[in-house]
Amino acid sequence: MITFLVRRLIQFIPTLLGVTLIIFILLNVMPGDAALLSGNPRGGTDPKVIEALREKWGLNDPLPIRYVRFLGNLVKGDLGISFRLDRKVSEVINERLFVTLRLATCGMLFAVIGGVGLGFFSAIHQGSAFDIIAMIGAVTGMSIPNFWLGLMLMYLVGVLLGILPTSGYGGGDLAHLILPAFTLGVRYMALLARMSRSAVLDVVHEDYVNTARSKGLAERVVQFRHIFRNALIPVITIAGLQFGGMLASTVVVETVFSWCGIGSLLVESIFRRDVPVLQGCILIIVVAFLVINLLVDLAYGYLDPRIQYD
Amino acid sequence: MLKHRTLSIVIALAALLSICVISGWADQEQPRYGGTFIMPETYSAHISMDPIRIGSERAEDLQVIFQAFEGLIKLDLPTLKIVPGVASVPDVSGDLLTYTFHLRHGVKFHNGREVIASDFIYSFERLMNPDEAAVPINILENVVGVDAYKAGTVDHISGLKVIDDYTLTITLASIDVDFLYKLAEPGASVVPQEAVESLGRDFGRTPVSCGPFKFESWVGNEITLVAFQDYYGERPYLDKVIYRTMLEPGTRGAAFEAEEIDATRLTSPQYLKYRNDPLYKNYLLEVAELWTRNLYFNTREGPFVDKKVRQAFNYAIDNEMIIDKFLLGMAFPCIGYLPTSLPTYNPELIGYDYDPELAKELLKAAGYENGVSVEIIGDSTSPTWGILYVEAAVPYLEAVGFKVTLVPLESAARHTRRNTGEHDAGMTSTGGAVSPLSYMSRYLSQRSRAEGNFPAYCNPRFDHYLDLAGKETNFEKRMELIRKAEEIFVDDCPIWFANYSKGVMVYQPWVHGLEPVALDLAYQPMAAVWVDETSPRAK
Repeated sequence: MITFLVRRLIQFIPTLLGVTLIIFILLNVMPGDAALLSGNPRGGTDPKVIEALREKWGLNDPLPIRYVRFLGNLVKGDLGISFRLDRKVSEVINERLFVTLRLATCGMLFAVIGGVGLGFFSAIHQGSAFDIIAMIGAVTGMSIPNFWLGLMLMYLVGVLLGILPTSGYGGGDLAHLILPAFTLGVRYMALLARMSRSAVLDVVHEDYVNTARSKGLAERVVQFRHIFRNALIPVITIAGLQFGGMLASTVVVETVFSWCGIGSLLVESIFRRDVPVLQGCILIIVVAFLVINLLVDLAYGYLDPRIQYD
Repeated sequence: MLKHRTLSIVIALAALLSICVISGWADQEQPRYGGTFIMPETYSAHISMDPIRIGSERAEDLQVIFQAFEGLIKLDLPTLKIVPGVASVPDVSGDLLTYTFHLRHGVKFHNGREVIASDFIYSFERLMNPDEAAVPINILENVVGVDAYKAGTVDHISGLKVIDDYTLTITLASIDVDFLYKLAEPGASVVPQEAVESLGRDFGRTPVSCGPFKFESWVGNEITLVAFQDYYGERPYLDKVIYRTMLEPGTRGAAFEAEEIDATRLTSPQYLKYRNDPLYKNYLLEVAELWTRNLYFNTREGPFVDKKVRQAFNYAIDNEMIIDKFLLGMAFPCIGYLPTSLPTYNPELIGYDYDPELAKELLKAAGYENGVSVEIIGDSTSPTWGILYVEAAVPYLEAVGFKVTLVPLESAARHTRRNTGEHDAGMTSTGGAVSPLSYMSRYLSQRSRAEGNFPAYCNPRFDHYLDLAGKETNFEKRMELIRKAEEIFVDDCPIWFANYSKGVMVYQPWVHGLEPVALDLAYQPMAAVWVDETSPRAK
């Protein structure tokens, strides 16, 4: 177990190095000049201002030197200074990361509880009206664009019913979290419902399930201890992968609900070519992916003792 | 008898009710102190509240900065006139080069210290310090000694002098009739040295100046200002103003209907909705903003080098139809370049009416009888000044012989490509200046594309009139010279005159004091805004 963990952590290093190189090259070759955008881009910017900004940000140095400087600072935990905000990137990301993590975690909790629950009961009651309605709902949930769903919920729940605030972070209170988390989670809930349904159906006719039943175990015990637990492994894989994706896809929900998280920071930084912030955000998302995948691998061993790490 | 008594009671009750209603109205018309105003920010997220980091196009930040910062003089936002700020309007020397400012006594920074003349010297030298890489350096570039200061050969700008704590002079290297307009920009605001030095980079997040509102917090996408009790002028009516970034129009619409915000700018579909709304049609604020939406032609290479092709383009399009049907009336048709809100607006100017036959003739005369292919770049999202607006004009253009290729680009890529000139034309929106001279000067031949002369326009006669205007101190004569320059510009048409921006804002019935500010509707003078008791945030 420890060897496995150390081996995986060591594998992070070349992965992260590769990622930093790709991010750096892509962000620096795309068209657009951060210095030009920081003045008055629709004209009227003194060329001397643009030049001063380029010099200040080191944009006049050759790319390899800038990359080495970036890596050197990264090793020291310094992600640089935001072109756009004139603040430390680590500070900016710190402020925003919690907001996005909160949104994504609640969205994922909703997706896992709702999706796995729906999928499990649909499979157990395969062919019933509940199963059919749940699967129609799942297909619909996967098909609805979340910006549209968000706006509709906003009007229905916030304006017509007036029971929840329409938008905003609201200092982090629960009322402001419900609609965005639901909007973010719906698609993943639908996906998990379909995945967990098929995983349960794969397990439900296994020999060990029949054995459990023939031993005279109560049906509820068979369902939860023998079917549900064994069906969880593929579902956890998907949920883990989706959580990383969810972090990256909060962009739309944060914009629609006027939240100030990593997603909106990414969009703002792309439009202003704020390369240090973009590098920092993407790096954080990549690290989140790696860590979550590691946690998923560790969870396999817990759920299925046959899986060995060494 | 009983009938009379009943009638008397009814009349008395009616009178009492009338008095109550009338006094209620009167209360609502009487400005009251207190309450919170929530203003959504619609353009993009805030980046800094430090005015030297902000260009004049960043309305999202400037709308907050206008409330919290002040300089020697300031712009009266509703009238766009220069008015006294921390100092009175200056005495100007006979040679028009030296400006003497007399500061008010007792003006306080938000940190409680009195503002004195040396604070302005510090603020101005900070603005021009090359290490700061400040954006609005054009404000003071014409001051004597700036070049030496920027080169690092001297420690102070020689053209800035403190006479005593309440008097300072600024000496210019040459006459600049727009100098006071420049000095009224937020970039010339006064800041306390001790706050700048102690806060360092965080000054842009927790700024200190001496405006009617002081900074309270910036959390997430919300900036909160509170009334500054020691402001030298009248205390603002509102206790608190919150600027909340809400970029999605649908989100702002829902928040407005749920009464979570007090006003919002509108998009075209929202404008259509609210102007037909029985209640809110009475609570719309409309103004011709100082932005001219236009399509600049590449006058250096390609088919638009020929003036006849540019004129054909202008004649080919029924602009009023596009504004009416596509923008749903949310723009003003263009005649020339200078919009209706500027004192130079010339209603007698001869522009380009819709005339497709004349457009065809002009194309034929230019040698494009069989049509001409043109590539147009533009912003991928904006309907009023982006590629979508040109798309609405394409059927008109194709009808006269233009074969149009549209290239939508996001802003960063578009700005970069625009400066290279490697395309035939590009849709944009230009302006944003209060001074007509400044508004027009971007097209001076010595200006590069990066400096705003996107068509790379060059006409010595145009330059001549603007040069004369730059030296003319008589206001009316100056305006006349600028009008002459505009006539030449319209005749040369290095741009397609698309529309003047119409800013529209809807506000809640409890809101009072909002003004149709032409510079940008977002720049509301919040110190004069108040909310009556029916506001859910009246307390």
